[in-house]
Amino acid sequence: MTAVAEPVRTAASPMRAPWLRFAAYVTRRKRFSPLAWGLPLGLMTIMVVAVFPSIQASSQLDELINAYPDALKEAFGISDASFSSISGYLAAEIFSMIAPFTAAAFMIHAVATGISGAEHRGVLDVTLSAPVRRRHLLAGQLAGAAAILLGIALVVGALTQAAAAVFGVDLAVGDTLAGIVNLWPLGVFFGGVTVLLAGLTRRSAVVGGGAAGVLAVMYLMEVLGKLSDAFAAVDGLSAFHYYGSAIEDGLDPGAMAILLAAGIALAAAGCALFERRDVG
Amino acid sequence: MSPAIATHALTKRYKGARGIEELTFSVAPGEVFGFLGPNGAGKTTTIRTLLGLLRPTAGTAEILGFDVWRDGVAARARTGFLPGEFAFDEQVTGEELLDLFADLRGIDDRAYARSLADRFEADLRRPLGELSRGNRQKIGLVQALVHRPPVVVMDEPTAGLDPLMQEEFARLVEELRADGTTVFLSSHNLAEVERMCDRVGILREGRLAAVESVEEITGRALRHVTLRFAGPAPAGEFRRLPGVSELAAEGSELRFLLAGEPTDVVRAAGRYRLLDIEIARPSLEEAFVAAYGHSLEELAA
Repeated sequence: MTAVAEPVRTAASPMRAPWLRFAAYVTRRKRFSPLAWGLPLGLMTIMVVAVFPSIQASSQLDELINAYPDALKEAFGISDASFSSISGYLAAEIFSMIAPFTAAAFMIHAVATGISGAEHRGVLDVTLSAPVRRRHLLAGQLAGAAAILLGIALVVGALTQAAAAVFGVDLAVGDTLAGIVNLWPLGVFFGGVTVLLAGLTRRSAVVGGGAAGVLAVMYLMEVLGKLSDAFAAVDGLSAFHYYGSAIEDGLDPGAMAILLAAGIALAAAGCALFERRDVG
Repeated sequence: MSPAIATHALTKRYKGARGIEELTFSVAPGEVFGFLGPNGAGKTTTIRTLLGLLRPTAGTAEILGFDVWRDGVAARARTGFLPGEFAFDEQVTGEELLDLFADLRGIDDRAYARSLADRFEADLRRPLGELSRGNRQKIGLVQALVHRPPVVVMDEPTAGLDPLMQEEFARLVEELRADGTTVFLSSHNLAEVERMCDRVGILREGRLAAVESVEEITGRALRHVTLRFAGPAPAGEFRRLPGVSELAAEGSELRFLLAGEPTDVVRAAGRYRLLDIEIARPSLEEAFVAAYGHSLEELAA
């Protein structure tokens, strides 16, 4: 065994913005997540793009879709363009439900395991023995997960665009970009929901399960709001109301800002609660 | 001199579970203080409260004058912590972990951390999930000391360490003491506490039963005395001496337990030709039983 270096006691000052260090730590730890989460969704998108030329050539399908009630078509993101344009088809098959659910699920998973899971395993005892405020840890977890979500969206976008080129489908890069960028504020919103729940309770099952429940309920509210006037009043409370269909209609900066602001506000409330409760 | 650690009526209650009740004690700078008690007595609750992980129900705790709840960041900047079972993200290597904590603590120079890792033969290259409990504990120990804190808090620090490393750990604590570092460690290993600590606090059912120096506890306890005479043992004379009990004579040898000073025994023995005398200081374990009537394990039952 070698002799230890002579300890020279210095008054070290803690980091000024430890949330950035936590965010960098999360992005490094989850550096393979863009592939792990982006590839499966991207492969589904490739299949959708691959079959689109045959769907487009089928006139019987148009007739079948036109026979659906308007409310049902609106509820499930099916428009007249759904089977006549690739952006409409991608919106109906991927970007109305599967992609936003994947984005939200990733954020719920990443934030819940990074906070509640870490708390359950005793990791936070060590992390919070450092001179950092708890809110910095939560903010770093949210920011790191949000950065990884961008990576997931980019993987999906790149595969979608590559499939369009391979299968000879005319898909504008701007439409793809709008579709994937639109996933981000929705994901951040559900990350904020998860932070709020982590601030309320140390029970990791309640945090992950509760956030997933909010996701399901909000989707249901949106669908029911489109199907029935009775639910129209509460439709505005659903995050999906502000999600829209950017791959078809382009980005809506106002709606994106509302989702982001709501997500950050929920996270801030979660941080305030987390600062006051027992950890571990 | 202001204490390094001070608690006043520190209380933490849980719903449906015992916590700690009105703990008042202080630890002087440079002191090695052992927190003794059976499992469930409240040692870990006290430590978690000192680290600001738990909010006190009542009372206060300060580290170097900083309230651990209100000025937690300042208190923790001056504290190193090693939990009983060091846990961190399993994919992370020791190197990455130490980098993270050095950054969070504003440490640029990693030489001290590396020298500590070398000393404890900590494997910094492999992910923590691939390491044994003892090897993870070594990395936890380096993490706790990476910023050379004036106060170190450890919860069952040698759990999982092999005997050689426990020995090395005891030497490290000695060096920390010499360096003026305050060490607060919880343990239910009395031999470890006896070797390393200046004073001990004894926790029983969430309350502080006593705070005493190791010397006080062992000094008060019964000593095992063995006298070997050149002729037949004069049992009757020694039986009458104050503090002597459980006397047994066998040929020229006399064995008994002695409470208090050995002056009278030595004086009486001096009147005979004595071949050998042995006064065994009790272990902290024996002293603990003598003082509290139970072993730590019995207290837990």
